Amino acid sequence: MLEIEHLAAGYGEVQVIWDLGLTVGSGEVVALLGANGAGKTTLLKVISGVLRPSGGSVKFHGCELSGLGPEQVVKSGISHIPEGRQLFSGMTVEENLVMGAYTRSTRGLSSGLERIYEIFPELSNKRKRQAGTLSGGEQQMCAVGRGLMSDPKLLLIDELSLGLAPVVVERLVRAVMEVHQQRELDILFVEQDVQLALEVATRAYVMESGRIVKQGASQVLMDDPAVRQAYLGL
Amino acid sequence: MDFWVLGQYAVNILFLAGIYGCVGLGFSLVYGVMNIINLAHGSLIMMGAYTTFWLFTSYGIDPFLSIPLSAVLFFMIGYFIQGAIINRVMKTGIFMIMILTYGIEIILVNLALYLWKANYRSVAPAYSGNILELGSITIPYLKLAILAATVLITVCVYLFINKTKTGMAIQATSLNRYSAQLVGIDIHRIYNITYGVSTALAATAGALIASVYPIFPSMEGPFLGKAFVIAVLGGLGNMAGALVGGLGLAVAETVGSLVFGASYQNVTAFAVFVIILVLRPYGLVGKRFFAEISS
Amino acid sequence: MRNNLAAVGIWVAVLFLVLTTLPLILSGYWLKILTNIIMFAVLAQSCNIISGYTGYPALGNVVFFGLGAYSTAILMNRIGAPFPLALLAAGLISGLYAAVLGLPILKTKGHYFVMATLGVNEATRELVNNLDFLTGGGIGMSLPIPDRSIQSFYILIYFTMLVILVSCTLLVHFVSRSPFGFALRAIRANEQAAGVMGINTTLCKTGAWVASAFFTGLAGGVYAYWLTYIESQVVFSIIIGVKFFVILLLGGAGTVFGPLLGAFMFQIIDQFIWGAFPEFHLGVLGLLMIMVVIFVPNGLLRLFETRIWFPAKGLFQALGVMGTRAGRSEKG
Repeated sequence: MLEIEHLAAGYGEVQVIWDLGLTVGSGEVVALLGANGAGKTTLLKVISGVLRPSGGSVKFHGCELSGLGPEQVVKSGISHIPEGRQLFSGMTVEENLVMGAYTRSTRGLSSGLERIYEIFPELSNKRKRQAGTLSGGEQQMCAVGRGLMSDPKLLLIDELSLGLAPVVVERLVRAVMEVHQQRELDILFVEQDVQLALEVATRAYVMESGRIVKQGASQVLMDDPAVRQAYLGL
Repeated sequence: MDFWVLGQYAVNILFLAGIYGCVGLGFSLVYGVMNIINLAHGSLIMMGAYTTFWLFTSYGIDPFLSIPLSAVLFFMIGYFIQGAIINRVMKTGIFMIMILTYGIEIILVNLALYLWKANYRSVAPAYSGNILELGSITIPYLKLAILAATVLITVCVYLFINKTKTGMAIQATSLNRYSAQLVGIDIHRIYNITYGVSTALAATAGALIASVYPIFPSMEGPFLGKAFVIAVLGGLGNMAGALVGGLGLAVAETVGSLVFGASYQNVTAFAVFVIILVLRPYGLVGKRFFAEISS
Repeated sequence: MRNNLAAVGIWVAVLFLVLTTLPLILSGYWLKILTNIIMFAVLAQSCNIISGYTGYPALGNVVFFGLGAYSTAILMNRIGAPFPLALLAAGLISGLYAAVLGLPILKTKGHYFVMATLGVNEATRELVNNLDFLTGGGIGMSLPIPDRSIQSFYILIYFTMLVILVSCTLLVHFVSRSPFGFALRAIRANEQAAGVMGINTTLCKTGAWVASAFFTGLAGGVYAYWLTYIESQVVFSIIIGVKFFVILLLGGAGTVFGPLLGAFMFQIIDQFIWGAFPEFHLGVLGLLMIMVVIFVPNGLLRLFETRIWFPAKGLFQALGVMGTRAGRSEKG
């Protein structure tokens, strides 16, 4: 249960997000759409505590998150899979996954790892390989796996499909959706592929220059002529 | 050249490489994790040497036994310096951080000048004259002990970095700060610990130096210079490289003084340094990966 | 814009008048301090060319100071060259050194460049130490004592330093608004992009460094003649190199007058510290450096503009005192 109200944020003196409100209810998969530079990634950074907001509030299950460091946000049950995978490329696949569980006690570690290897068997045979040597799809699996290792209640995903073949994307989406159903994991994701996003999400927000300009159920947005024209090219 | 003479040189080089490895290790660690050129490293080594001197003359504590004591003390000092001062400016450019660390450097030099004056001091444990003779090679036990100590320290650092949770977090932070934050690593705490460990290593190097060489406040300059050379030879920020760099500097200095004369030892070292910087900025053994420049 | 220019003109004229009459009425002690300020202004200004405008942190630039000092000393002492000739040669030698070294070293960036310049400084100092027959090695080197009264000698030194400062500042002033200055700033902002735009980055960087080295070498030469005794530990000392960086930061890197303001402030504070805490001079200096980095990272000039000048202007505008013209000139 994520509730964002009147959020303002930016880099130095440049404000990127203006008076933004957004919620992710339990059991929801919410998409965040918008052109490049609309502030989507910045919003995710604010939620995960990497960037301090300059105003407004971010509440997660009733607890105020704004002002907390990223380590506390992770502990509260939010995990952020960044754009461009951002693996620890000098480490092995398994070490990357282990780092994902950094905030958790080491007791459940091996069962956590096994769970990820069940979801992505490809990673299982490559656990000792350097993460930087994997293919793009495998790297994204590793990144998703690392994000899931902290056993989050809310998953933020930035550009899951970026630069990947459609088959691989489908595979990743299916895996994430399975976890969503089995583990009561809420999801907020940024996606360039609007068609895909609206198929997967229950609701969606459209961002433009740092503000939410449209929101609604996926089906409604899918039929919205403005959205169809701007993002689906129909 | 005679076999025994060569053997004697090899022994001396190994001993020197041990000390230099220790000098470079902490410097490289800080660079690798935080991308900081820590200009205070020389004076931290110097203060470590004086701490050993102080513990030896005031309480009769053996220089080798003083290492754990001063390492713990210096870890805390380093943790504090990073937490209270350097973390404030981590986001400014390299310029700023260098000026800042140099400020710390000269404060420490001033402190040493005030506490111990500019005189040369030395620590001479009772066994410092004892010598092991191997054919015509003579090895002071003290140098053997130093070599053993550096091996032990290297093993400890290796285990800490690769086998502990905090060590892995340090590695993760050095590889990708952003991701490190996203998996829940408190990178500022990691910075503090890293600087603390680096400072403890500086103190250790200082202790080893104090047990064989005379010490004085302005020794910080030469040792900072050596830390540079070692780190660059091995590849900036590469921990294993720091040991290779230590060996490289020891060889360069020894060969340089053999070929050009003893007074050219430092010229050779710095010439090699500049050439390596220009031709192989990722170091002798490093991969390009470690030399990714962020300015 | 024209108004601004006139204001700057008046300020420069007043400053010039003060700087030329002061030495005639000051006591020896204060003249020495003033000369020191001017010297550090020259050093910071030279550093400004390569570091402030081009963005290459040449922390080891002090090597040209030492080189200039030793060149002057050697030429005057061993060959008997007259001071002006020796000084000019010292500047040229420093510039040449930068040109030769610049081609390989300016290929490195960021931390690597800093370390390379420091390495060059160390290697050069060690070399100077070893060339005993030329430099006197570790003992240092004396220069011929000038045959004129002490006071007139110090005034001569002062004016030589001032001429160097004025020419250096004029150079920076004109370069900063020339295509060359634009090229340097482009390199600072994004070297690759500058290269793509058709700027010969290697040539520009090297040119900037040569100019920087030339003036630093001149300052070193005057310093050597002024003190009549130099030793390598002093003229190649990193602390001098770091000092002019602090001055540059304090005043404001990449501005024409920042280095001058910085040198003035820094030397005055330095002098005060010497007087008040002789035993803790270094320590207080270090503390000062830390405070500059933490509290005035953008330099005093920027601080003055953003905290005092702009708000004051805004206040006046709000009160209608300055009208719309001031508002326009702020943009100009």
